[in-house]
Amino acid sequence: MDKLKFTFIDALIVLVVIVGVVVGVISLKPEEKTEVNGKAEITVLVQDTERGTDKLINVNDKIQIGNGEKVVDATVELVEETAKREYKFNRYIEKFVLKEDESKADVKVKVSCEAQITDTKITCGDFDVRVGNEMTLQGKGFNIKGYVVELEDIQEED
Amino acid sequence: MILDKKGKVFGKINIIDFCVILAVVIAVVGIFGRFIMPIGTQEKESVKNEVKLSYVIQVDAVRIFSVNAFKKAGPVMDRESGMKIGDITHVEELPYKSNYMTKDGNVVQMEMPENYSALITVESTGYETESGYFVSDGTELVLGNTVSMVTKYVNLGGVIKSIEKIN
Repeated sequence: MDKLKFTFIDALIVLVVIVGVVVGVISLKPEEKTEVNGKAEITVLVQDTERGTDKLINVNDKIQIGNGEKVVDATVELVEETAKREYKFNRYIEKFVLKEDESKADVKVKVSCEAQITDTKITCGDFDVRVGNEMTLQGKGFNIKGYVVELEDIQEED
Repeated sequence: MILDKKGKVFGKINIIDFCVILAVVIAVVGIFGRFIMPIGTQEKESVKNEVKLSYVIQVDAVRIFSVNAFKKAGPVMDRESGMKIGDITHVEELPYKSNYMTKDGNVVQMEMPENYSALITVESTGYETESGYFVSDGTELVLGNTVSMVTKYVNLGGVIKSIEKIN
């Protein structure tokens, strides 16, 4: 049997394979995250909604919160309803005037949910939660939409 | 003839060997482009100096809860790419002013109650070239450009108001 020769081209092939494997591992390696489980406390402001919305949402109720596409279970922690308030510019007196409309309501709902917390995001279920994001609240007798105005993360103790 | 009857390219090198050499050249070029010159696609200059940059993003007409969310600081990411574009080092709020028309048709600038302009100072390592300043993900910093940004706590965009090199 002929003696096998290891040529320059063979060395190149080995090199290409090694480089390919290294590049593949680096590219496919998941981003390192220091993710911890915890809880998110989210306050949602729902503006210009029906009066009496707060009667349908009770503390400790289990409701669903969502981003318009996905939903996750949450627990109601606090509900506050006030008359709808809005500043309007009055061009005659050249001042902003606060107008309150007793027939409509602004409702603040604070909920808590299980969350995955990293240095860069707070994820509830399958979606990230941030101040400024739109959020839906669904429960018995209501399906309303507002904006996240406060967000706290509580990390679980080991 | 490029390929002769024996399957050799230019009569000297085997076609398989030629393919291997070609693959090595492509791999070297690819690795150089991917890992050694990561901002090559956005930057036209070959000379780049690593610098520390401080830039201010102004976010207008926001409520105090958004300002407070920015004040929790931390890393700032580009909303689309998710890449880090710096860390918040300072947040200042000013009354938000906008133009309104009076009954006489004059335009007056008024402070809008309960609304603020947030000035967010972000520091980042990046590159300076002859054509501009770039943060590490390759985004070019240009005065007046809109930045779509997210932090851990807040999701709001703003406009770059100043850029400063700090080393």
